[in-house]
Amino acid sequence: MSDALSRLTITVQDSDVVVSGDIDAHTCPELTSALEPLPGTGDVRVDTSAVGFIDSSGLRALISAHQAAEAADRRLVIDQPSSAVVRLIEVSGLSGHLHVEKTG
Amino acid sequence: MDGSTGNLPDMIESESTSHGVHELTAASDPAMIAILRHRVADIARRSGATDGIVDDLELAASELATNVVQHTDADTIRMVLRCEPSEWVLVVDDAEGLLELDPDTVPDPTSLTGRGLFIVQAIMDDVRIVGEGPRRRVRCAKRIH
Repeated sequence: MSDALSRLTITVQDSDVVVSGDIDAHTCPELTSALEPLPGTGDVRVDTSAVGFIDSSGLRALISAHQAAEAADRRLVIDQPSSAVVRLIEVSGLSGHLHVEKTG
Repeated sequence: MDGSTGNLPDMIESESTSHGVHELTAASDPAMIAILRHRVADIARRSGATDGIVDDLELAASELATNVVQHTDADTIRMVLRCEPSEWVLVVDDAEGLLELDPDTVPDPTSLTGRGLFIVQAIMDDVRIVGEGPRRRVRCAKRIH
């Protein structure tokens, strides 16, 4: 059986954020805390390659940070999205609205 | 029903193996959402569902459980998962917090809320609210073939 509780690990260095684990209603406050206020300067890159699960709660945290970045003339870049992140952004109709980069 | 097994604190599962019906009940708490969706995924996976179906059932369970926690005053999250010959069916109690179904209206991209049910409708093949008043439930189905 997979781990029962959702777990999320976030590391922040300047404007680079690495997120690993599950983003849901229980863990999204941690992501929100890491992104508000926006870390560092310039574009904020959020590495989501190790996000195994994300639902609309996690998406809300990303959208909120995206809007804060836009307001500050910066970008929030969702970097190396995992398949779960790609899928959720697509089914939510947000593919053309968020900055997603499949680098690496 | 064949009996109940208490797998984890605050979650109760009962299973009718003769009918493949799994009833999951947990406290209405954000921490329980992952426990419920993981169990839904495990049940589907062990029953031979494809990865895509497992992922969609897991996401739907998470969205609907979140709705109960965030938008109703229910003390518990109760969901029933069963595999029928042609589809998986997930029913979640307490649809009180849900707007009427509207699969054609995409939420405003700038909106921070209101995506949960839209996502469920996008990934599941049939979503409907059944029952009336406080007994309203969300029933969603994912075709197997």
